[in-house]
Amino acid sequence: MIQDDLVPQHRKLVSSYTLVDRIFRRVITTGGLFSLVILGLIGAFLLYRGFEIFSDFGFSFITGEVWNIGDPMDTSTAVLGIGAMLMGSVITSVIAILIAVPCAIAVALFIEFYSPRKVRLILTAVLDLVAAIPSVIFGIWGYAVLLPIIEDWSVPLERWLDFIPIFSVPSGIFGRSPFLAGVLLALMVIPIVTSVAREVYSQAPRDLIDASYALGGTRWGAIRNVVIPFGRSGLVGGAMLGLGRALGETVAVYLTLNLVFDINFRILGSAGGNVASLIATKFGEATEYELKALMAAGLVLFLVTLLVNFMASIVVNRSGKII
Amino acid sequence: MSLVLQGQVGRGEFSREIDAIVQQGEILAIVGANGSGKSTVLQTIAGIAALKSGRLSCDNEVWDEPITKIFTPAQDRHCGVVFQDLRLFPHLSLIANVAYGLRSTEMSKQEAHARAAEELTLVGLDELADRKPGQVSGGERQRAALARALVLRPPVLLLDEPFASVDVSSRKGLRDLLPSLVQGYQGSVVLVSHDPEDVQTLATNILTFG
Amino acid sequence: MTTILDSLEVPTPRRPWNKKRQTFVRSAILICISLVISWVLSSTTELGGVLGFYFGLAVCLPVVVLIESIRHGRNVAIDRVASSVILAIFGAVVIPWISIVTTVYQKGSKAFHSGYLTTDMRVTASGDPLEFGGVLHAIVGTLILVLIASIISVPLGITAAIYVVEIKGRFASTVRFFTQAMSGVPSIVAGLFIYSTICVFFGGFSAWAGALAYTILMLPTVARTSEEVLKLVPDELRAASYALGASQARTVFQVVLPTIATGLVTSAILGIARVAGETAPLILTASYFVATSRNVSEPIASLPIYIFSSLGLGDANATTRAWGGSLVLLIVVFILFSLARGLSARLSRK
Repeated sequence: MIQDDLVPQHRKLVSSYTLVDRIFRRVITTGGLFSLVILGLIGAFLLYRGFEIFSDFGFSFITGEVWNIGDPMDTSTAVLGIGAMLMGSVITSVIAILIAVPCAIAVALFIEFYSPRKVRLILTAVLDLVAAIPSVIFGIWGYAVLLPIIEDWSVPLERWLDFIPIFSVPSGIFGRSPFLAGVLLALMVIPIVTSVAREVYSQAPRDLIDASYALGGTRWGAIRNVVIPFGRSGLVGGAMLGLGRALGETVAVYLTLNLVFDINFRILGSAGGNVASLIATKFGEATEYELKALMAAGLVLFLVTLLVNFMASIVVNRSGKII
Repeated sequence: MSLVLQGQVGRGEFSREIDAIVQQGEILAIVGANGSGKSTVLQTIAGIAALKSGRLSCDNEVWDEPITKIFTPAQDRHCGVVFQDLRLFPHLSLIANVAYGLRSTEMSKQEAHARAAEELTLVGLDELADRKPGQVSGGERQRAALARALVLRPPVLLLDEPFASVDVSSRKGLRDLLPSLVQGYQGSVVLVSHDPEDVQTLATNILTFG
Repeated sequence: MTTILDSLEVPTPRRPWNKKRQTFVRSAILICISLVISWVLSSTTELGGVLGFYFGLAVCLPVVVLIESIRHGRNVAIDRVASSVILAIFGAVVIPWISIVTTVYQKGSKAFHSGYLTTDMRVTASGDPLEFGGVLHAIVGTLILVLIASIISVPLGITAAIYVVEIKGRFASTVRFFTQAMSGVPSIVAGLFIYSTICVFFGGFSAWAGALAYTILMLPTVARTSEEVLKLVPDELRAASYALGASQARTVFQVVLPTIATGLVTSAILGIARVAGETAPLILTASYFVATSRNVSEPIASLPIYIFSSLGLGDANATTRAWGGSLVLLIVVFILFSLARGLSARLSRK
């Protein structure tokens, strides 16, 4: 039986798991998939509740500018559309991103390349801390402190830039304007965009930066030629994360923006909108039918932010590998 | 108990051909320069790394054979391993570390701890049983790691630079301890070392890596 | 005796990368000049106020720097102007942050009196004098909401992280992706979802519903930070456990999780800090109640809603109460955050 010793028998055991491990893996997998289930449920329930609205108004629910319940007893007299609010969300968020991205780049560069190590550590912590300030506090500060300042500034801005349509204010009423909400949202998303930007800038290839210095380049030369191109896609991802946050913000916008159902590009005037604050405003005294419309509006907001966040995570996950 | 390893071990530039048989009761010492792939051989036997080609078998069980896609996972090979960096679990006391392997075999807690205590006595650590690895000296950690491997009575004992992280004075004590521990136990030992004294006092066979 | 060494002039090594005193002096002078110019500008033109002054400074500084440095050539000038622009923008961003904290402190501390943290609003109207009433009900309510939300979301979040890092299952990348996407769900949508399910089925607002809305918002934060923490566990420890014959379940529960216990606590705290100030979902779920309550099937008070509802009244005393609530909330969030920082620093030292 020497042969048996030389040719071992194959044992049927191709890295299979024991019973305990199979149960363990099954349980963890079920728990791990929970977030997918919740996301699906959110979409499904909002669609279920708001379906009647979509079938009643169709596409005009998304484009319509009017929000009128009509006779509370008779749902057929209602005209409901979130076009103005959706446009308002986009306008305030775009203002926020246009302000936040250059600021975030500058702050991230300052932290990574212009400040000594100790200051850098402190600033990174401060950044996280500011990102954790609740939006209601941003809102109350925006209302009490930022509002008068922006109001003062809107007057000369309107006087000088009157010829550009978006800066003209025929009503002469400034105050709780999309511009104010946009600036406030910018302050809220700057920490988010900055920490993404700082993260990608800190991974910029050190040898290329050194090479740039060695060739007689200045600090700005290294930043412009190496750091910024390297961090471009990461920055885009960070900006989209910020955009998603700005689109979905409720309380800060509720406190600093005058809801008016009218598509309005005059960013300095006291009239604007935002889907999230529409829901918060109307929720309290909504009729049954209006509530369904708010669910439908919530679904639209959910899908838009989900789309923006999907794109953001795709871009962020890919960043740093380019170049 | 005999261990047969024939084939290519390791990946990339660390990969090398190896052909070794270890019979029961033998101590095979693998010697060679740093980075010559000694540790990879141990990892392959333990089941933490896979063979590139060839076959690894123990008695009549195939543990690893890429061509037939057979791979016995580490937890089913029941090897005893003393890692070069020891890898004692930092949050467990020494006795819990030693009992860890026994508890994996569905042994009751009391029994496992009793066995672990016996083993700790053999290596002279009975008084430090409730300390955490961070609270004892390097030599004591080394003994605990040895006890953790031996308590399972493994058919194959793998020692990776067992005295590397110990100062010279306690190295002597450990070197005297090891043969007495191994003597009473029926199995094969594979030892990786770059210290010629280890090899001369312990090994029955020597395999040199260039 | 003259050797060849004496006749050689040894040059002092130049270290152009070291900042010289000269650089600091030059920067200080430039900033002072800009300060003067912008002060003149703000007092003579419409750019009034502190902000106008700052805005003037932010414009002046790069211009002054440009004029000073243009004689060193184009590249040096661009470099210095870029530095001054970055410095100016940094200031423009940091000043509002400081303003938020100082304003909340100044206005909020006015609402504080000896019993502010130990009384509630059951017999006090928001407009009543400030020595009556307090935020006890809101603090207790927030604690209850956060506690329930943590009990549900922390195990689920850690499970999701274990799935991604330890099991590495077929859906691992999908789960990561969706967790990331879930962190972007607007908080009001989470509230709307809970309202449309829990509140509609079980009749009205309740602390339960609020806590569940918090859970949805907390889960992604806990999952993502736990994932980062799990990745810190060296594979060597896992391999050691497998080599001792342990199953994967044992390896995870007895080796992996205990070694990073502080990290998991950190992830829970970060999740709590993320939701503790959320207002929008509570408007739709937990609503508000003026007395201290521990009944989870009834509406419950919370700090954000205390602030929000006091603010809506327009009364001066009510507004001061809102600031007082903001100060308490800000302190709570900052404490949670420092706690998380401290713990994670301890973890990384290990």
